[in-house]
Amino acid sequence: MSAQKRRGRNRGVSEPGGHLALLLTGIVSAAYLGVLAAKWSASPLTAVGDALPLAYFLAGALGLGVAFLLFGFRPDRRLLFAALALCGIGVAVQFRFHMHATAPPEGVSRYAGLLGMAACALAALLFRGDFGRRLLLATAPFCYLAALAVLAAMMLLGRRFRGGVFLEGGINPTELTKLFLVIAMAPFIANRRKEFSQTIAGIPFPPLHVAIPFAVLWLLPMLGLVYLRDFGMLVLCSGVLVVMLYAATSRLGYLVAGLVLAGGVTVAGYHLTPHIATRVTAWWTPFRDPTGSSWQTLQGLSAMYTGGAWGIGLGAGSPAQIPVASTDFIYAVIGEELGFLGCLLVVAIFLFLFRAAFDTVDRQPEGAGRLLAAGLAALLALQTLLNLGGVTKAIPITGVPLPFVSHGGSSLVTSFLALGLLLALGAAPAARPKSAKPRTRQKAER
Amino acid sequence: MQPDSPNELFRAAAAFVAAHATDVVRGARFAFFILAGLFLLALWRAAPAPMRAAGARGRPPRTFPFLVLCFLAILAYQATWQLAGFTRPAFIAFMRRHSHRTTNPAESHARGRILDRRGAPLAVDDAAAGRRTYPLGPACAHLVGYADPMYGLTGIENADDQSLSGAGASALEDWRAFGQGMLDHARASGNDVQLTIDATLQARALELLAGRPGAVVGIRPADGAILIMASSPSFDPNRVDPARLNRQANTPMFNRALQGRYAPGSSFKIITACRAAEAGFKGTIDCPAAGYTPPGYAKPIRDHEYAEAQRRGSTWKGHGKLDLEEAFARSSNVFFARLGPQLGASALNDIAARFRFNQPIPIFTGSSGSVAADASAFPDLSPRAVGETAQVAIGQGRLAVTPLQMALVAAAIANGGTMMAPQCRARQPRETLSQATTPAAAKRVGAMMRGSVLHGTSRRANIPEVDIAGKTGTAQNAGSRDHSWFVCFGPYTRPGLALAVVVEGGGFGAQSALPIAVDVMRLAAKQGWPALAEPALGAGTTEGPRRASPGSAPPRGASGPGRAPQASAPTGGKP
Repeated sequence: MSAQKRRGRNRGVSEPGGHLALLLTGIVSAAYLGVLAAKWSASPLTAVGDALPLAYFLAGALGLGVAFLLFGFRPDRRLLFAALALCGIGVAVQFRFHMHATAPPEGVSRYAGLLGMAACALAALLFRGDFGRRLLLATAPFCYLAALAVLAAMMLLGRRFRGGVFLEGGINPTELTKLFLVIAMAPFIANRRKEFSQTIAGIPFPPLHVAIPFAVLWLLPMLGLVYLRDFGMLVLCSGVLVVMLYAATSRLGYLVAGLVLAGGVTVAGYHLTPHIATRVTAWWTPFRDPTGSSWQTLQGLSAMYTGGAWGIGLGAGSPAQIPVASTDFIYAVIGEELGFLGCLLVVAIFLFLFRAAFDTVDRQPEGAGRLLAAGLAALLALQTLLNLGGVTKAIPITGVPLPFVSHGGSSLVTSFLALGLLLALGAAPAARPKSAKPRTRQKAER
Repeated sequence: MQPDSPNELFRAAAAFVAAHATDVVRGARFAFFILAGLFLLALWRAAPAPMRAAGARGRPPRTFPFLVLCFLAILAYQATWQLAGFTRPAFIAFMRRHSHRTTNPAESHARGRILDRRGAPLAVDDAAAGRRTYPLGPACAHLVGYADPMYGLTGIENADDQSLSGAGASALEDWRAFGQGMLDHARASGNDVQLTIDATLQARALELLAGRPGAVVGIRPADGAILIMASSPSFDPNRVDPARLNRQANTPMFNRALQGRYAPGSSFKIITACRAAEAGFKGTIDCPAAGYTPPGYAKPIRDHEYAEAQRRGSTWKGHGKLDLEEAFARSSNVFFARLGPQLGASALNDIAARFRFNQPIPIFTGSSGSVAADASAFPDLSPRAVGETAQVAIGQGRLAVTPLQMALVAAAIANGGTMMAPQCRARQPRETLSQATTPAAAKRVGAMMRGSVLHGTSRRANIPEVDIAGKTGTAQNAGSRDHSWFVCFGPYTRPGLALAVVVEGGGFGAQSALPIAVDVMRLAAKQGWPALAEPALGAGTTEGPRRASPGSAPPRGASGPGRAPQASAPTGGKP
């Protein structure tokens, strides 16, 4: 039914698009049905409530489509549908984590998907068009202050839980800081593009009157993250910053310097903080302490090996074997239940999402918008890389959730917010309708 | 069904789904794959025209291809765990122990085989019965051990567990099997491990022990390869039950070859003679019938002829003056008891250390642990304790040796004084454990051992098939019958096998232990010495193709590489 309605959304447009909505509904429903079947065969207790998460998701997706349709907003469908598909897969895989969870933090985040979609719609509609983009960039100083305020609030009010810091009810607003920082830094770097492009002997070296304020601006929130011991966020934000600098200046030196710095900080952290030392050791020598620090990684890999090439079927896995599987290690559960093939499909969807996200960069008329789009795309891409790398033991665990797929309210809402901004930045201008056969037309023009 | 009750409808649907859960789960996964594929295709086609905003300058830096590379790298690394995790033995061992999922592919892996030196199976997975089987039964039970779901792991099964349960090098030899294992983990199998054990000789040795408590250890002198390691009584690893076995007489689970520690008796005179030969001992020592009473001792040390004569009711005149060779052949206690203090306590301490007393001797280092012989005990002799020095020189006193230790002693003599590190994993590089004695001393003692067979206490080992050189031992032990030892090597001029045989309570060495050693030597000779002397490190000749039916072991040596230098004689030692 929902698909039918959303197919109608594209009736007036020349390009076909309803099949995307149909396929999205199909994928998520198929995944969800498998999980439900596994649950119902295990226990005879069936309740209409079992179908609620799927219903919430479909209703939210439908609402998002209807809202865009009503406002005549035409986003890049790849971005929208790829993100929704990932979110839907996440809903299906996480289903059984909800079963016994009524207490926070899990209970609240049951509606996080809906909240996220609402935030996405709001952001996309508010900041669409030329005016929207300027409005967004104008908020940059406030975003910076907001980031500092969030960090300060977390330092004062936050409580430690499973290595992270949370507010009452399991809310983790630290997630928002990464978004705030990207918005804040985009105009700052874009306005000083020339200075940042200066090099000395191939090494990027902006003049001091730019470099010092930049360093101060950046180090302030980073020190807050160090205090909160949120090293995953620190790595993520710094990585995004490096990509933004590279995108602004096309100087490969920034990427190299970023990698060198990351290595240096890891080595320093290894010697200074037992927290980082444990994680690095657990990563490099997983079988030295298999039942201790490496337990989570090895259980995640065991789940994947159990899944093998084809997986053992949605709902048939044993995610309870992996500590905190629903957030950081959701990818291992996908590997167990859908196998390597399922992982390939999920990664492919992610790659489409990033392709579309990076495409929005080219559609920006000016530097700050370009940087903002690049920063948001890099944010999602890096977070995905860090999470997948950690779960597969390619890199040490950084403790960042998988965008859109992982369970977790604040993270999901933040990802959807980033998506909304990207949708707003990448939406086609109303005056130029898209062609049915864009590629051929492009060729003809040349 | 009431149409106005959606709850009822839902429950009916749920009941239907639950009844066909397996099919639904499988169907849902299949549908997911198909739909996700179609979805990706649709996303691909939904790509809009690449639009460049009017104000955009220059070519934007390309980040996306780099990103794709990063993800591909992660997926490739992920595949080494998710698809080819069986190549990581430690990982599979982890999963076997710590993965408590309803399905655990690590447990369904076929365990690697344990093979003898010709490729005959000592332990294989019986796919039909779904259990581990040991074709040799009790014959190799102690060394190979068992892998029992209830009683755990012992022996090689335990020491090389990781490699046996996770595949690796040997699985990579067969790419097709490797690919099948990647797609279906149940078809993956562990590494084989090949031992230097000779199944035929091993089975014969246990048969000859015939249930009497004792042990036989056979070592190839040239490279230390352990060809025989039999401990009796044994047990059937196919039907293992430690609780029941431990209640039985003579502790069948106990590996006497490695852990049994016995007084060596006269067989220790080989070592005393070595020290004398090193010192260039030329003279004679008077050996009267009255024996030798060390200072501070009440009872004299006498020769065994004295006791025999007494039992017959006659008298014995004594040996009179004996030289080293004659005393060794006759195994004169009086001679060696007087020789000991003459050589000195420190000299004996020194040679015991060179023969590797007082330290465990590893024979197998595996992926999960190792197998080692217990340390043989040699007391730290004080120069003032003349009596104890005399006792130790004839193999009594606070001495305790393992059968493996005595086999190593014989192998060192046969190998010109160089003790090769004992090894029961095939295709290992030769390693010297110790320069036990000088080549000249080894040659002289080897000749003495040959003399013992030709005209001494080991006369019954004088057989036409093999020129054996050996030494009997009769170890007195408090409270029960003497232990019977025979330590030997053969053939004398081209040693292919060094043996130590001990039979608990077997009486004289020549009585129980010697016939066993002679029979094993005879069988080894019948099998052909050249094959025996072929080094274990000859690569590529032994291991049959994987998944070959058990018993279809390929013939050895057809295309084998050059042979390692053999110990031609006790003389041709390699210093």
